Amino acid sequence: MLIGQSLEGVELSITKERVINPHLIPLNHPREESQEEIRKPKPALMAAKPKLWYFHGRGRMESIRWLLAAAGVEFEEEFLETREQYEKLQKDGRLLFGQVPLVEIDGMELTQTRAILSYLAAKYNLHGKDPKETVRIDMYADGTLDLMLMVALAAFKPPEEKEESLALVVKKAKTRYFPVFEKILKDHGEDFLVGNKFSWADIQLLEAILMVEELDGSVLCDFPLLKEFKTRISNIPTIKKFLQPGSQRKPPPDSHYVEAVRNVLQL
Amino acid sequence: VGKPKLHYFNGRGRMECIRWLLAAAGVEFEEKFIEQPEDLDKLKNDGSLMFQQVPMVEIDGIKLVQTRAILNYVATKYNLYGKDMKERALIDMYSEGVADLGEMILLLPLCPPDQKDAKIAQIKQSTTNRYLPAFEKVLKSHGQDYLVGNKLSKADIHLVELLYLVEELDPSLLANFPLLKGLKARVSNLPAVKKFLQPGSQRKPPMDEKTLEEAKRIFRIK
Repeated sequence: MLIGQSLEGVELSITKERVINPHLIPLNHPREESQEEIRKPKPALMAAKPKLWYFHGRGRMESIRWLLAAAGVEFEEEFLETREQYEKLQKDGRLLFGQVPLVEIDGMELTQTRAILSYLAAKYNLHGKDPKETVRIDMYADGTLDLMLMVALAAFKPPEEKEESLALVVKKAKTRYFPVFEKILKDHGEDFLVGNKFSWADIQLLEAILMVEELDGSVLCDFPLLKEFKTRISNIPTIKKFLQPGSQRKPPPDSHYVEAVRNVLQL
Repeated sequence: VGKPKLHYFNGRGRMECIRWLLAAAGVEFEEKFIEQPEDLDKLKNDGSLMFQQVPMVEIDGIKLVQTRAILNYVATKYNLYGKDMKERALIDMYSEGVADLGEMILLLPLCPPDQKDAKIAQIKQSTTNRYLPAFEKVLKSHGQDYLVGNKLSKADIHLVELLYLVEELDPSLLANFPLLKGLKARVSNLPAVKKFLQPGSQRKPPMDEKTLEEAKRIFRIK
C-alpha cells in the first residue's frame, strides 16, 4: 500500500553521443552497438538486483540495507573479508574515493553513503512529493544519520572512550533528537513524519530508535508518540520481515567485526 | 518574498559552502551574525534551530538546518542539481567527496598543536592521492567543461571552493592536475563567481587566531 514497485523509475540513459563517465558503467562490457540496439530496453539491466559491497556488519551500509528492505527491494551482498578483495576493487577503479560502501545499481557504481541513500529514496518514492517535503526529510534523515554514525565509529575506539561516546549518543538522543521528532508527530498528529506519507525519514528514525534502545532500553520512556511510531513502522510488512531473524539486517558491531575491518583497511 | 537569511558567526565554518552556492547561483542573501553566546542561546530558545545547531537559513518561509539539506534545497531551486536522478547521484557522490576533504581542512584549527603537523601531512596526502586524482579522472573521462552532464552544477561549485582551500594550504598541491586547474579558472570566470571572489563580497577570509577565539567563545568550545 505504501511502497512503490521496485522497478519504477529505473531509467536507461539513452544518448546519441557515447559520453563515457566512469560511474555510468554498463553492466555488459562496451561493444559497438547500433543506434537501434541502444534504444531497445535491455532486460538484464532492468532486472539486476542492487549489489552491496561492504564488511559483514552494520557500519555505514546498514541504513542502505534498511532503505532497500523497507522499499521491498531484493538485494545481493558481497562481503569484504580480505585485503585482497579490497585492493582488487580499488585497482579495478570501482571505488571513486577508494572507499566503501559501494552499491552497484542501474548501471552505476555508487559510493558515498548519502549519495546512495538519496538516490534510493528518490527511486522508490520515499523522498517527498516536492522540494519542501524533500528538504524536511533531508533535515530529519541527516540528524538521525549523524547519531547512528557516532555509534558506528564508537566501536573502533579504546574501551573507555567507547563507553563515553555511547553514553553521549544516548544523551543526544534523549535531549536533542527524540524530543524534536516527538514534537513533530505531536504537532501534526499524523502517522508519518512528513506529508502524511511513509518516507525515508521514517525508516531512518526507526533504525535510530532501535539502535539507541540497544544501548539503553529505557530511552523512549518519555516519548509516548515515538513508542507508538516504533510499533507502527515496525509492523509495515517489509520492515516486519527485515526485523525477523534470517534477514539481511546485521547485528551490532563486536570485536570480531572491528578486527575484520581493521584487517581489510589496514588501520 | 524576501532574500534568504543566513544565521551563523562571521566566519567560514560550515556556512561558507552555502554562501558560495547562493553567490554562484546569483542569489542575493542577507546575513545575521551571531556575535555573542547569548545570540546563539536566543536562537535556540525561540525554537529557530531544529537540532539546536547552526548553520540555519531562512528561505521560502522555512528555517532550514543541516548543511546538506540546505545545499540540496538551494541546488534544486536554482537548477544546479542535474537533469535527472542519475545525474543527481553523481553530483551527490562528488559533493560528498569534496565535503569529506573539506571537513578535514575545516577542523584543522581545532587540532592540538602537537598533532597539527601530522594532521596537515595527512590532509596533503589525501588531497594528492585520493581526492584530486578522482576528480581529475572524471573530467578526463568525458573531456567536458563540468563534472556532470556538461552543465554547471553544485558539484563544480563545491569542488572549486575546495580547490581554493587547497591552494591556501599549499599551492603546489594543484601542480599535477591540469584539468582541475582549468575547471577552477573556468568557474572563477563565471560573472557571479567572479564577483564573489572580489574584495567586498560576502565571501569570508581564512580563519585567523582572533576569529577562532571568537568562534570558540560563541559555541562554547574549550
